[in-house]
Amino acid sequence: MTKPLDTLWYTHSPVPTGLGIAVESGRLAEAFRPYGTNIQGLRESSDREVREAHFDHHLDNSVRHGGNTPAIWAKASGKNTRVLGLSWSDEVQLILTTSETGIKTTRDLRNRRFGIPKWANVQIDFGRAQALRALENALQLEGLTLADVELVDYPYGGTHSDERIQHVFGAQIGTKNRRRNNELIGLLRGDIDAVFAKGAHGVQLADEFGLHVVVDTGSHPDPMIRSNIGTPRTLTVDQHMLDEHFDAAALIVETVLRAEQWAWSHADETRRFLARELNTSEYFVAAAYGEDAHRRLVTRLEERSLLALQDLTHFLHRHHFIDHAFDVRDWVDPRPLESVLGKTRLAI
Amino acid sequence: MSQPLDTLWYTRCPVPTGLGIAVQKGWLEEALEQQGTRIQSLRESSEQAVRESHFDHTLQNSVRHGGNIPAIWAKASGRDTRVIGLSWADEVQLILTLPGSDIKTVKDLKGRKFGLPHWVNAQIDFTRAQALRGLENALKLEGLQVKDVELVDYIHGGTFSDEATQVVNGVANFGGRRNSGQNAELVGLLRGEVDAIFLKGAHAAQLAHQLGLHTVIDTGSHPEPLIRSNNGTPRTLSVDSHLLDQHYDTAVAILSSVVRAEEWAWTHPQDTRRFLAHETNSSEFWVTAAYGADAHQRLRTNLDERSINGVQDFTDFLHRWNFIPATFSVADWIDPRPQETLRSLVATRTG
Repeated sequence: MTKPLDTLWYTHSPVPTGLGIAVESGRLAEAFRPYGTNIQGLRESSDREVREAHFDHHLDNSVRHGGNTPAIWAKASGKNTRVLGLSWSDEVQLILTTSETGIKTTRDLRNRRFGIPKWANVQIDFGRAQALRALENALQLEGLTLADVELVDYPYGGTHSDERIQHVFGAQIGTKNRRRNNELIGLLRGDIDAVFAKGAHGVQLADEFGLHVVVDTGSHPDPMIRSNIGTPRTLTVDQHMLDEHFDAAALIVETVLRAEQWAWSHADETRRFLARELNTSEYFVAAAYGEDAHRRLVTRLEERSLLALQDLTHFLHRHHFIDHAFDVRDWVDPRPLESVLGKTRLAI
Repeated sequence: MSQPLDTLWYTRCPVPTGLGIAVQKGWLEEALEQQGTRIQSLRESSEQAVRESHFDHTLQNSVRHGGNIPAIWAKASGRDTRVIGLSWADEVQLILTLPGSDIKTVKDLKGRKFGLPHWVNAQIDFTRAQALRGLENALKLEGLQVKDVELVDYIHGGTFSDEATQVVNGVANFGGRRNSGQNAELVGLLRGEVDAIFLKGAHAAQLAHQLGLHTVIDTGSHPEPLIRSNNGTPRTLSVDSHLLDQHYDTAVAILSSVVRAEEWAWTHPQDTRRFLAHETNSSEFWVTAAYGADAHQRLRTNLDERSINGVQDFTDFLHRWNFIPATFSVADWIDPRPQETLRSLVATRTG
């Protein structure tokens, strides 16, 4: 090893990621065991500051695989991070309404009330950003803009790191275990006309309450329309790790790729893993991520993913989620992935 | 003498049952294959009349493991069925209010509006019956009666068997899509039309969490079994008399595969949790929240005195509320012979 790494901090969002499988299956710990590296989950830390690093990536020697919005924000805010890989697992991205509104298609959203979350105290409000992105993309397909819709804010207090995360039967559960979906309640009460929900929980809510899907931007043929917080997801580390512990960075990439390769041939076990990770049923995993969900776990640096990441960076800048846009190609460090693909015979 | 049976129809509720696990593990099929019998799932049938038999038990040579209300109703309506086992898996039974509500305890429900589902086209509205039972039992603990609250009906059209259950990746959705209005009383609660509602099981735990609802009481965790007794406590394993008379060995084989599945479950908590998540179309976390960390230990089909008393008390309840035309003796409804035969078979084998 370049220089022995004492502690590696890892974090992954409760979504389908290669790192998530690598961690939960014990592969990551196993890979680092020969080097005496201690593996620690950031979000399970008792220290709020450490947990917040899932979103702002301020910890040295940490790796994160998850939604790109916090990663883009951290980079734009001056955190010295690098992208080692991008994974694109298409998922449903739903604009939902009730049968009472009479809204059938995206065009009908014109001049209607759309509820979006607004987290007052967070550094980066990714929930708001993802809803706005899907709405903007959907409207754009019909020649409409966000100005054609009335946005209704649903305020939330607190932050996403207030609670220590525990893995309970696979699910990432906050210790206080309370999170209301205020926009959904607003929709069901008839206060607003439409909301955004994505992934397995989106499908489940639509099913549970018999909601009408106005549009699923997650299944549009154009990848730019599908691109959002989870498409693609970023695998990032801090520059310090690359400079001082390059072998550790390469080992992370290798472990993620191996976990994904395992997933491709283990559909059943992967689906169970995803259901546990997302705290939903396997049925809804298949409904949201496809019956080929296991095959969608592929971390690379594909051109399509880079273009989408760039487009999202401009989107976040345009809506003032970040101070300035930047060139995502400069943000990527392809060396660890290249070294892994060069050295191992991964079946691609 | 027992005659060979061509086809056995089976059905179970989307809840924890030994039959559900026996089906998922392939053990029901295996046990009956040895007798030359093939098995068919009633709820996956393309015919509504066949699917409806999950509720009215009209099909000959069928077995059902699930909520007791439809089984009690079918018996009270003259279907010639027999209970060959009862299983008692406690689950959460929640009376829920909005977080800002001034209703904190059961006493506060007095004079308030309680939303109840009302499936007008269903032969037996088990959702209404179980909600009323939960409410009545909760009120009883405080010396109150159902007439002390104002009941508000939420009308649902359609029936419980309008859609065939879809199986994707071995995971059934149990016709979960009953389309809009499935949760009409919950929406009514959110809109402030009513003050409280009843929900149970894994979905109740999840919805209460997602919507930040306040739990007034969980009658499912009360120490007194008769307060906990409801549609799912205990569940009935029932067959038609024709099957017992003509194909007795089939009945024994069914019970045997159910018991085998349950005994397997006791020593396989993780796999069982996954099966229960499949059955309830929920996550393993929510299964545990609703059915306990010892959910795998709660799968036990027998003919315990407690369970028989629970069904009798509940049958009287259903009669009192006019869900069934007449009450009857549950002890007479039970046929203990398959259990006895199974026990003596096991005794012979181990003896």
